Amino acid sequence: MTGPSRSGTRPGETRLARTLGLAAWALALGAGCGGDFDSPTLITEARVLGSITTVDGDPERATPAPGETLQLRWVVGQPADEPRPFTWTLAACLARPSPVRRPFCVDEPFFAVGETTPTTEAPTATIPVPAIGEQEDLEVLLLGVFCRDGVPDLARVNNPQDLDAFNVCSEGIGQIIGQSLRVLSDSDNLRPRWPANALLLNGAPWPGADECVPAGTFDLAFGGIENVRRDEVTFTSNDEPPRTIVEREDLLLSHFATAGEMERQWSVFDDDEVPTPLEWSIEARAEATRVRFYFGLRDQRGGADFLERELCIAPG
Amino acid sequence: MTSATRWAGAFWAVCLTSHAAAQPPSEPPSPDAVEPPQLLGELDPGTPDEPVTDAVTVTAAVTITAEGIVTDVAIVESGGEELDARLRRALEVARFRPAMRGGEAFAVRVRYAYTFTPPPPPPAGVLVVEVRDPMDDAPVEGAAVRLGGEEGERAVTDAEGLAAFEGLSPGTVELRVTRAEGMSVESQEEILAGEETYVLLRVAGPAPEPGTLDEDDEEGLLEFGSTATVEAPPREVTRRTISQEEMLSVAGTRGDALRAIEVFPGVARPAFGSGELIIRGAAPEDSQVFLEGTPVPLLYHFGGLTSFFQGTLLDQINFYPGNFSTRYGRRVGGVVEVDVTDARPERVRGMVDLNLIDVSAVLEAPLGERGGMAVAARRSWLDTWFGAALGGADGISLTTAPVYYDYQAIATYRPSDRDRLRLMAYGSSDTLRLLFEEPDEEDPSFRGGLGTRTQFHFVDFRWERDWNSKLQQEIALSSGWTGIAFDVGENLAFDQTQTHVNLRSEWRWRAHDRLRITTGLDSFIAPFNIDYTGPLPGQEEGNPNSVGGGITPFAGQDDVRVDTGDLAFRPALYAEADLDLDPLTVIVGARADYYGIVDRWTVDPRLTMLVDVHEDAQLKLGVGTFSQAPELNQSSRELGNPMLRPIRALHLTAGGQYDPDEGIRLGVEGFYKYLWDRVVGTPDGNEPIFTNDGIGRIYGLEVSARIRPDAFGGRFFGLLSYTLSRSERRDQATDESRLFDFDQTHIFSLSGTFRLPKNWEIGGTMRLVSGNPATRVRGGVYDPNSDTYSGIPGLINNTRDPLFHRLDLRVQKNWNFDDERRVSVYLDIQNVYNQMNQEGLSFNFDFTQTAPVSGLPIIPSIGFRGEL
Repeated sequence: MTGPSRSGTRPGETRLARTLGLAAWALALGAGCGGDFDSPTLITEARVLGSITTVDGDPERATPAPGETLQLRWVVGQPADEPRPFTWTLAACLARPSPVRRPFCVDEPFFAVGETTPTTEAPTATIPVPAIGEQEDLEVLLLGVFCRDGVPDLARVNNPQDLDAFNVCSEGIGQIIGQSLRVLSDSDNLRPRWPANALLLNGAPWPGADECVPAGTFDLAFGGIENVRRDEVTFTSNDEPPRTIVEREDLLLSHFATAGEMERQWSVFDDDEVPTPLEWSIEARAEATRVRFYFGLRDQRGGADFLERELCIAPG
Repeated sequence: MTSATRWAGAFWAVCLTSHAAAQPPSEPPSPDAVEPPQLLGELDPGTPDEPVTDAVTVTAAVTITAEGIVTDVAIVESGGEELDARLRRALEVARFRPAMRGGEAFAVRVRYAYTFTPPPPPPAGVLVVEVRDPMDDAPVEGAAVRLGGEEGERAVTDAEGLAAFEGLSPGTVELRVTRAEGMSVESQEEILAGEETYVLLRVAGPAPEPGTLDEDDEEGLLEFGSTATVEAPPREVTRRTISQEEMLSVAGTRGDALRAIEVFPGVARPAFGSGELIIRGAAPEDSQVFLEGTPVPLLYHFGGLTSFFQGTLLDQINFYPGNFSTRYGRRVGGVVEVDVTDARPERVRGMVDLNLIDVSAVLEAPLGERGGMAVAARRSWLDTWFGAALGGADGISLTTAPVYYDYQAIATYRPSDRDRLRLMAYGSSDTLRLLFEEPDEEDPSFRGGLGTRTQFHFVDFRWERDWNSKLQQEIALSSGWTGIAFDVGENLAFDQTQTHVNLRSEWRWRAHDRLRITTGLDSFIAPFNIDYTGPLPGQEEGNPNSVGGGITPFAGQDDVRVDTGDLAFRPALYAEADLDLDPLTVIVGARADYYGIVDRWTVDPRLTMLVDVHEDAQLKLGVGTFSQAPELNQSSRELGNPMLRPIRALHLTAGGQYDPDEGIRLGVEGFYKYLWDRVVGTPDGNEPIFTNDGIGRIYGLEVSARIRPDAFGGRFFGLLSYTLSRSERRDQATDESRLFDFDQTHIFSLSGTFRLPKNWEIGGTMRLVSGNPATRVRGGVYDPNSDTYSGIPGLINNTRDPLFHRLDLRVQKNWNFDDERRVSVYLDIQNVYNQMNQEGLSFNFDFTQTAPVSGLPIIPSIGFRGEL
């Protein structure tokens, strides 16, 4: 099996039976009984790989307080040879936090923006966040559509009964983006930032863009990530009286490339262990191959930072 | 050659030259020595139409050519027209090694004698008669027992009221028992070849002096008659029973008794790897397995691999798919009652079973004259090879191989003829841990691994007493501990521990010849603790977006952490009256349950009517209500809604059964269930998280044909069943009805076992089942926070997986050394033709591509069993 897959059945009613079912599914899928799909780490067409949000006047902060202005930029992965044009639209509405991961706006969108003329410019938006009271327990839901073909139809996204990746663009299959951001007056969710010289290729600094290396298997290592993890995750215990527990955030590292094969899609930095170097392999081609890499660092609560690199693979 | 005609021996009367026959055998044969012709194979004249009563020898003169062919057959000593003809025909097709002289074949004419012998008598039967006094149920000593009229065989009962007759010819015998005081009882009994027939007769003694008995005893004095068994009459519209002999032979179960339930009508095919029991369209948690009246937390090891109780210690399994007695409650689906055998062996005996999955052993022994004990244990040994087999799986390694074990210990003692005591201990444990070397490719929080650990350990004490011929009491107290823990990746961990105390006390009173009253107390007390970390659990059934529902990753969801405990206190009272209005039997009852935590009472009236329209045919009708507590997490203050009400259901069943011959039963039943106050999640998953807004309905038809082992002398038994049903749910008042997650329109099962000559057994099970409902996924929504996609479900359960079909075969060879000692080797093959049944769909990372996921391939399992 070369690509990822996920199960689409409900393994059962009781949690135990469901876990046993998950185990069976894990074994079945792991043993190659699932589908054979392209890897999500391979960028073959334009695609949104992430979103960087910052607060106006405080670029280190990822989530806004009521009344603040949010700056948003979608990171778009593009094939290495030539950027592909796309169209997009984005709306912001207030939503109620929900364990059900479906977008539920509680009101009409308070902001909308988009580009219906094909472009290769990364989508950006400046979003004024309403001055909502915290007691209302609302969050900002950013709903977007990214079309490689045709133009987007955001109206469909706003209707959960009509939400369908196959009809949000006038042509082809669209990408629907739904991002929730907490709105807290004492928000201190700082963005994780890539440390300097964090990327190592086979234990050495990343080579220059004009320096071609022979094809083969490479170790990609990420240094200094542990140093940018912060004590920011809070829980309220159910003790009497309840108490607030603060924990160190986990950081999720996503990696994409326009060619070759990644060993895995994510590397996770948490309290348990530091991930092993990532293997990336590519076969030699007749001509020099330029490969673009995207590395996303996320705190999984809205904070994100991205790095882009290029690598030249010498002809075989 | 048949058993009816065994040839006692054939001999050659070779009319050769005398010098050839006179050659001393120790000397080397001379060149002129003659070697007589030899029969190749066996001569088979078949069975005479009229079996001979004495041995009859028929002699024929035949010519055997140099090619070994028989010609010119002439009967020289006749045994009668038919026997002559049979021998002639047999010789004419026989082949011989020709007579030889000096290395050359030559033609000879010889005489051949064949003796037809009478068929052996059928194995004798044994009749054991037990005589008791109906008033106090005491054994009657000195009663005269006579078989077959004035000249019949006689015996006198001993101090235990027992008399035995051996060497009886099969058939019906007249039985007369006369007490020393002169009172007598007559009956007719059936003697079966090679089997022991046990008959209990209650014969009244002389009337006591007036005024020395109370009213009940006086009624009892009038009562006498023949009782072959003391089994209570059925109290349910539908009771399907499978005996130990049948349940150990069903193909595809590896001889596992409890898995034989899966071939019953109304039992749906469980989800892949879950091992759940889905009865008549009810959710798995709506049905319950009871072990002698005590609820069992888990039926199978590892999602259906093997059940938790040693099959050879089970007596029978009763399956009630609906309209069950008031004895059972707290469930709105179906009930499976597992009866444990009464361990009273006459001698020490044991059994060892070894197969690719596990090894088990059973030891039984008598405890004096009034008791017995049995111990059993089983352990998987998958861990020795499973990890290696998994070696090819992408990114998965096994840190704790699947290991399960279970044990049972049973001691039975009868301190008096009125009392029966039993102490039983049993337990089970399953442990598995998979380690994912890297984060899962769809969900970064699905990393680290997946583990399950399930354990339960119970002690069960039971006392049954016959207070008199009219009143019986049964008290059962069981206590145990259950621990269920599992974790999935970094973001989901569940650990629930529970201490159970189950108390059941039941009184059965025969108030009148036609009226039996049963009352009971059924109490369940369970302090529990739940430690949970993970996304807030919501509705699971009918919700593909639920936690772990397959299309929503754990990543990006807010976790809750809960460590909570409470006391599940659920007492119940029930009463039931069986009124015999021949040919109509009416069973009416009610059950009152209290549900702690949600602090609610329910009262469930139930009615069953049985009409014997013919001595072999019965019509049945049942109607009643049933109730069930919300799941512990659903009513938890921290994870759910403590204001929930119990789930309710109305069951209606009507049908009939017909026994065209002994051991053969045909049945048809229609059923309808209406569910209300179903617990469902709120649409957005927010408080109150769960409500009672759900309703549902299930209806269908079951047709079955069953052949029990006693139908054809044990040579064949099997079950054919077909269920046509529909199970619908509605979660909110404004929703359209949808299909239940495991709605299976057609369920067809055919299972049978043949016993062949030379102790071979072959069995097969064929299943054709509609595919489970499925929900189309219309792409995904990308969450930049977690870099994951969530699937967008279409209309819930509006399509189906393809038809499921599978054939399982089982072949077993037994070597019987005597009645008790046996060695068996069996081969059990699941999915014989390696059908790649679709169990669901897999999706690519953004849900724009799908591919089917196949279930289990062909799985052969070979095993060995020795019984001593």
